[in-house]
Amino acid sequence: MKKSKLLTIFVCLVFFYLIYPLFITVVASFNSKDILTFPIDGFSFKWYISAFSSSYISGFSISFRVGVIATIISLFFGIPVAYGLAKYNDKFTKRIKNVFFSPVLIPGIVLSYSLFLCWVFIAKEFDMKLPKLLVLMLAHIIILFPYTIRVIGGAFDKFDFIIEDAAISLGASKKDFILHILLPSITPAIVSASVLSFITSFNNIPISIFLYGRGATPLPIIMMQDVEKYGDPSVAAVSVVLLFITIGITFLIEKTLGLNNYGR
Amino acid sequence: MNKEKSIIFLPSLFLITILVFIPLVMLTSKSLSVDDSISIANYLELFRDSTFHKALKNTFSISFYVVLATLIIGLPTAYFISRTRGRLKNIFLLLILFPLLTNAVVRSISWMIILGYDGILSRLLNNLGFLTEPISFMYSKFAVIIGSTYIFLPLMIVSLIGVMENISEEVEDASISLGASRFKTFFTIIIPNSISGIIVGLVLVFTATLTAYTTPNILGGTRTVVLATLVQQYGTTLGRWELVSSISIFLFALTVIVITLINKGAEAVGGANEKK
Repeated sequence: MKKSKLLTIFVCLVFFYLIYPLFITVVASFNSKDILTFPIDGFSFKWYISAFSSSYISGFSISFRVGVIATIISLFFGIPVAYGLAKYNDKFTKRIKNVFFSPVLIPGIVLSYSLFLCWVFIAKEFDMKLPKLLVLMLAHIIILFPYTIRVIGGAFDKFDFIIEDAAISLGASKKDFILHILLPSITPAIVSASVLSFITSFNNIPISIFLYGRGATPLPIIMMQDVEKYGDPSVAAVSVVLLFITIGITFLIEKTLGLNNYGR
Repeated sequence: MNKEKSIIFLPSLFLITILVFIPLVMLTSKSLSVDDSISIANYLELFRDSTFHKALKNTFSISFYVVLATLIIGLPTAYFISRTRGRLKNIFLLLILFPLLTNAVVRSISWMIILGYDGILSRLLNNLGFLTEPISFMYSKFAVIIGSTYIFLPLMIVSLIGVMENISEEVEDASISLGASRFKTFFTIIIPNSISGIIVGLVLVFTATLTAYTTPNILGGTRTVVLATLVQQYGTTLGRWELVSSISIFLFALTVIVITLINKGAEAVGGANEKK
């Protein structure tokens, strides 16, 4: 069916709405004056130099570490659960499924505050101050857990569990089956779950609000604080760097997994 | 529970218990205690609090307008993309999905530049003669609505494309060759057949806006408070910790109720459709 002109114009406007703000950020990051504005007064690279300043770099390293470790641990816990949920179909399994997906029902900032209360409780009752970085990681694991089960579960739903019986009856051990049949068959799902989880953790702000501290402040929190102060364009420069990293990742997903598999 | 099941499920049940259930129990008991005795005083104080009333009203009206805006913008756009083929379609999908992968601060900065004092919008309206002096649109409900719409539009479009792709183009052609206009076809064929996608998008966008923190914090600040930003403001900024627990419980309960209600509604609609 041919599309009407009116619809085409409308969709062009929508894409303009989606893309133009990002374009503004890119331009604003090259301003020679120290204000966030568009159009800019003069061209300068200096905000990119301050973008690589200590606070942003340490924020990046915190976010990176939290993201990587939370992703790995949530895969470690999530893969067996996704397997179990796909394999068993009894009442107990169905009920337990809701438990595993329950973190999505809790607003990030509420979970953040609840974990903060636990931190305070442990500090008071046992006189033990848990390191903020550890608490951040634990919080991010919980945020990622349901995503992991969902993406990995999608792959297990297509898995024929008769293969398992066949492998075992032909003499394979449980370990052989897991290492040589089960895990290889879901490798693409593991890759996409990892990428998605890492990005989700890296971008999530609400879950960290009550949990960050000195030496453990994720990058988006530092950026948000600068934005609240109406800071200089260096925060825009950091954004542009992140945008390009994201473009790289999006491109990689497109090439390796295909976009149609993502987001459904 | 057999041995395999316990190996598979128990570690994660333990994880969820430690990191979700115990913290939630902690939160609930905190909200119900005043000076070490059980009391609902925190809730009573919260329900009398005028800032809370304002935040509640803002949260709902912002969520309502954002859902409406994403639907109005998303329906034609998703339809357009679902009827595009080949490379072009991949480019469109890339443009829609890309914003979902960038964080909310990055996406909100540009709106500060657009809506700020003497910003792009203010200058545009001045040049067109609607304004006589530069103004700021920041920290208004309008700013939060337009910024949140921008952030959550991709969620709606992605939910809609999936179902729209499954509507056969032959049905549309039949409708048009039988004399219906494209406009009428869109409203009588496409939209009714997209109901399941619309509901998914509705749940996603509504709950996302209901619980959103970053965008309302940056674009709404302390002037346009919503429930999520109130949790943080009463906590870290204003030190009214006694209210933070009760707002948190309230926000959590609200999210669960809204999701349950929409899902129940969806089941009712789905059931009615099947009976036809």
